[in-house]
This record gives sequence, structure tokens and C-alpha cells, in this order.
Amino acid sequence: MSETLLRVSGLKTYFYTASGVSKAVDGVSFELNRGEVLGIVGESGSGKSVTSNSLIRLLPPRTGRIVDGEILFEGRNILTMSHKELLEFRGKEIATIFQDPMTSLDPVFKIGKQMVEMICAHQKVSKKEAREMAIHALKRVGIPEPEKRMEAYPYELSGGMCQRVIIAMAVCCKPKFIIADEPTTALDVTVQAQVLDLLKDLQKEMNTSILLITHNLGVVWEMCDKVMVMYAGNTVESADTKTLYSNPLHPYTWGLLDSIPRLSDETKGELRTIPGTPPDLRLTGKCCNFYNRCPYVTDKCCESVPPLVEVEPGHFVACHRQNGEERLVRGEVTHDAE
Amino acid sequence: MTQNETREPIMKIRHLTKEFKIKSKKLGAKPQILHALSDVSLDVYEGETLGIIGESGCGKSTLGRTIIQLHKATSGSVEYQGKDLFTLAGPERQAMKRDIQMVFQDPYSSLDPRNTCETIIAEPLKIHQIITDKKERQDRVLQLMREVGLDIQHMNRYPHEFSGGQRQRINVARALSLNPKIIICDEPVSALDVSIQAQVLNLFNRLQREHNLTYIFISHDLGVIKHVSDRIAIMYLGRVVELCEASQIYTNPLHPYTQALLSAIPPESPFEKKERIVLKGEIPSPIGDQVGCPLAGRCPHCTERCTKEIPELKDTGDGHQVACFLYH
Repeated sequence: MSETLLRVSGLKTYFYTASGVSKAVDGVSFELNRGEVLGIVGESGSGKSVTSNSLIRLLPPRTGRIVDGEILFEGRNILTMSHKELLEFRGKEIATIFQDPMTSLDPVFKIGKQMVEMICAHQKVSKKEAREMAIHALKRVGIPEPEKRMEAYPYELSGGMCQRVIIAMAVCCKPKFIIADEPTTALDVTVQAQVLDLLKDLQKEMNTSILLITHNLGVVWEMCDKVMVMYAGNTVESADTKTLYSNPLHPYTWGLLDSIPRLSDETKGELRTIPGTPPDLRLTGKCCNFYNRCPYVTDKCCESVPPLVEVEPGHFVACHRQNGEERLVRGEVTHDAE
Repeated sequence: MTQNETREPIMKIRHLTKEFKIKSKKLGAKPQILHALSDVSLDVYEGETLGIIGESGCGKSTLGRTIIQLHKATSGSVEYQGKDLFTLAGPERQAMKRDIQMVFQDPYSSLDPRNTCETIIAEPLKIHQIITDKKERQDRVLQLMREVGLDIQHMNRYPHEFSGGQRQRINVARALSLNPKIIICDEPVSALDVSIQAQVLNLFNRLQREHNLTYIFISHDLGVIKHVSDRIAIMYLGRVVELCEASQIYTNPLHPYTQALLSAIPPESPFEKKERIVLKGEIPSPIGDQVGCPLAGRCPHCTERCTKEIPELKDTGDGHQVACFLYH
């Protein structure tokens, strides 16, 4: 079970834009074992999606470039694969579920045609067999009357149904690894619950690993074994889910946990907030990226980038003040309102 | 609720119905009717926040837009301070428009990209001729900007130079500029990140305390709604199915739809295990005539009566209103 499936070390993905180099991902490392679900959380622009797209090298040509790092999938380095190998690899070994279910399907082709095309590209089967596999997969994800739905166009289905079709396509080739990039963000809560249940069932059944990208911490608590918190292109903290919830160490993680309004809270209370806004990614990389929003900032924070240190077995944190002997206590300094 | 009984509502929404006609593709065929709002009756009290929650397509945004007459209501009335909004004309109508303002969902498209922050906030003041002197107007704009947490340096910037949170602050400042009594907030934080969302929610709460504002707060996020609201209305398929105090929705949800909605929310910690109530199938189409309870086909407690009659929103005794035959 604890066999490593994916190892990412020191991944750096930069975007070369007219106004400078944007360090979207600036040194991210993580490991994922077989059958595990890893969650990546962070605000928009923190590099979650760029990280996952880098894994399958799905970056805009010319502007986006992986400048450093290593991505090993079952010992094979994805970064040195040829284009042909990569085509073979995507979809078969690693499947991706994107955020917006309505735009990830081609609107001018029927669902069935799109699925059959995908299956034929990756497996040596006849069209008829592929069709049967597709129907089976649709049935598996809980779509009623799959034979009829094969003839439907994407616009005829609701958002939740489209996301099911995409999940069906993702699991058709029995991939070892699924990247789910905000799979439920575009969906309503009741539909989100259905889709998450489905993903969980499929994951258990096929022992697939999942990289789940989300900004909803509730989804993480429900789905993930491990979680990584990203901020401005860096990993700031990573641990198993229960440890991160009960003993978070990075001030950013505290802020993130505190700023969510909870159902069990008193109404009309003041929410703890993180003051300020995330930094410009063109200017990061010289010091701790969180220094201007952190209530615990010291001189050292403005001088060097804190390394990601394992403070407890399996619990990594990148903060100058949490590495040493004297650790900070959560809630010691109260954040200012607004 | 005891407090509310003695208070006179500032706004009374009575039997508000909005139907959209959908033209048929076939020539000569009758247009179909989409029931976006069916018989919605709500009271809004001064100084409170009425939260409205529901899934996409349940009519919550239509409700907000119909109140300020961005949509013309098919039938029903909205009374504000004793006057029917839909029949007002002339200066009274202008005054009403000043008193009811709106903050929209998308901070990116609700600001004109060609105007500076100052022009955007000053525009309502100009239109309603509140402050005619240019210098005075500028002072007022600056005062408003400070109030929502923006500064003098932001005055001459264009919307694209601001982050999502800051843009929503501009939207709030614009809504505040006419000293409104009621602000209708249509998903004001759903396009924002959690840390920014918390800042904006705190801003809303502070402004309400300082100006005694009344909010009609529309959102699909139960956590957010619970945080800002005094009372919560749950909508499903164009109807209000439950109306209660904010604290009660979590402790004592009555309507099967509310129960399912609550159970679908992801847990608040990895140690929490949730019992999930799954509603079968999908939300039925709002097109065509409705017979019976809108939840009938999906409800685990569905009886024969539910498929024939539409349950009315009735008080269960303690101010908790629910539209379900299980309780009447």
C-alpha cells in the first residue's frame, strides 16, 4: 500500500510574460503513495492548478516553462518524455478532471462519440467494444439510461451530469492516478456531495491515487488522507489531514482555517481575517512570501526564504519561527479586523 | 422573533410571482412558461439581515432583481414603508430607488471598466442630484471610500487595477453613497477567496451596525448565510420552503429539503462523520405547470397528498415557518 507512485521534487514552473517572469510554482515537493488522496488547498493564484498541469506538462507553449525540478511517476521522469510518449501517457496512466464540466466536453460532438474516441486512442479495442466500455462506465457513475445518454450532446445534460460523464471518461482506462482540479467548484452543494461520494467509491474500488485540488477545506476533510497548503507558489505546510486540522503550524494555515464562516459558530460574530492581499508573483522568492500579511513577522522573515522542514514525522512546514525550539502558539496575536 | 412581532416590517413582499415566457421553436406554438418565482411572501424588518439560500435555479437572484424592478413582476406586490413599489411614479419612485440599493455578484463585470473609482462612486450622487458641487462630491466619495477600507490613492484608478475584494468594496461604497435603508446583496462574496471573503463579510457586518442597514443577503453558501443573517429563508424551485431564525436552521431544520441541504455540506473537520440524506434525481424543470409539492419526486417522506397539493408556508408555533405537509 505504501508504495510511492508519484514523487515531485523542487518543481519550478515560471511564466515568461511581457511584464516579467511570474513564479507561479516556485519549488514544490511532495510524494503520493498508491491509493492515497492528496489535497492541495490555497487561494486563487497560489499555484495549485499550475502544479497539477505541470504534472502532465499541460502548459501554454512559449510562455509557460518548467525550469527546474523532477517529476517521477513510477520511476519514470515525466519531464524528459518525448511528445509521443506523453500523448500515450496522458489519459491512460494519469487522467484529469477539470473544474468546469460544461467546457471540458466538446459541444459539437455527442457524448458517446467523445468517449469512444478517447478509449480507442488509449486501448487496442474495436469501436464496438469501446462503445460497450463507455456504456458500462456511464452506468458505473450513476447515469440513468446510459445507452440513450450516449446520443446526447453536452448541452442537453446538467452540470452534475456532465461532471459524471467526465469522471466516467477519466476512469474508463483505469488510470493509476487521477488529477481532480476543483471537480466540484462549479456544482451546487447537493450535487457536489453526490460527485464526491462517487469519486470516493471509485477510488476505493480501483485503488487509484487522487490529487484533489480545491479551495474548499470541507471537501479536503471529507476526501483526503494528506493535505498540502500552498501560498504564492510555495508549499507552506503539508501533513496528514487530521494533523493539519488539529495541529496546524503555519500562520497562513491558521488564517485560512479561521476565516471560514462555520455553521456551528455564533451568527454575526467577527471573522478572523488575513489582512492584505497575496503578493505579486513576479516579485516573490527573496524572502518569506507571507511576511507582509503575517502577524508574527520578524527581521529574519524579510531576509531569507524559509525552507520546508519536517518538524514532526510527516508534518512539513515552511516558517522561520516554527522550525526552532520556541514555537509560536496559534491565536497568540489576534488579527486586526479587516 | 418576539422582538419582530412588535416591530413593523420595513418591506412586505406579498405573493410575488415571476414568470418568464419561453418562445417555442415551432411556428405558432404557444410559448412555454418558466415559473422563476411562485407566490413568495416575506417580511423584512428594519435593521435585520434576511438570508436567502438555495441552489442554482431556485429563483433567489430573480427575487432580488424583481424587488428592485430589474425584472417586472408577473403578479404580487412589494410594499416598502407602506407604499406599493410597483405603482410608484415620479419623485416617490426616485426616493424609493435611493433607499433600496443592490450589490451584485460579480465584482469584475459590475463596474464600468472605463470609469475611475471616483467616477463610479460619484455617479449615483450626480444622477440623484444629492451633491451638485464638484468639490463637495469629491469629499463625500473619499469619505465613502475610507468607510469601506479604500484610500485616497485608489481614487483615480480604474477597476482593472483593483483585486476582486477591493472591487467589491467599490461596489459597496457605490451602494452606500445614497444612504440607503435596504441593500440587496446578490452573492456578494461568492467570487472571492476565503481570506478576502472574510474581510468583506466583516465589512458588511460593521456597516450594518454603523448605519442601521437592512440587508437581503442572497447566497448559496450556508456557512456565509448563517454567519451574516438574523433570519434565513430557504428556497427551492421558486418557492420559500422554510423560514426561521438563523440559529434554528442548524439545530432544528424541519423541511426535508433543508435537512438534505445541510447534510450535503462537507464536514467542518476530518473527525466529523456525516450522515447523508440523499435526494433522488435532479431538480425538476421549472417550465410548465406545477402540481403538488415541488420536492415531491425527490422527497423520502413523499405521500399521495404531496403529489396533488402545494403545501403553504405555515407557522409551526414559534415563528418557524415551513411549507411541508409533515408539519401541518
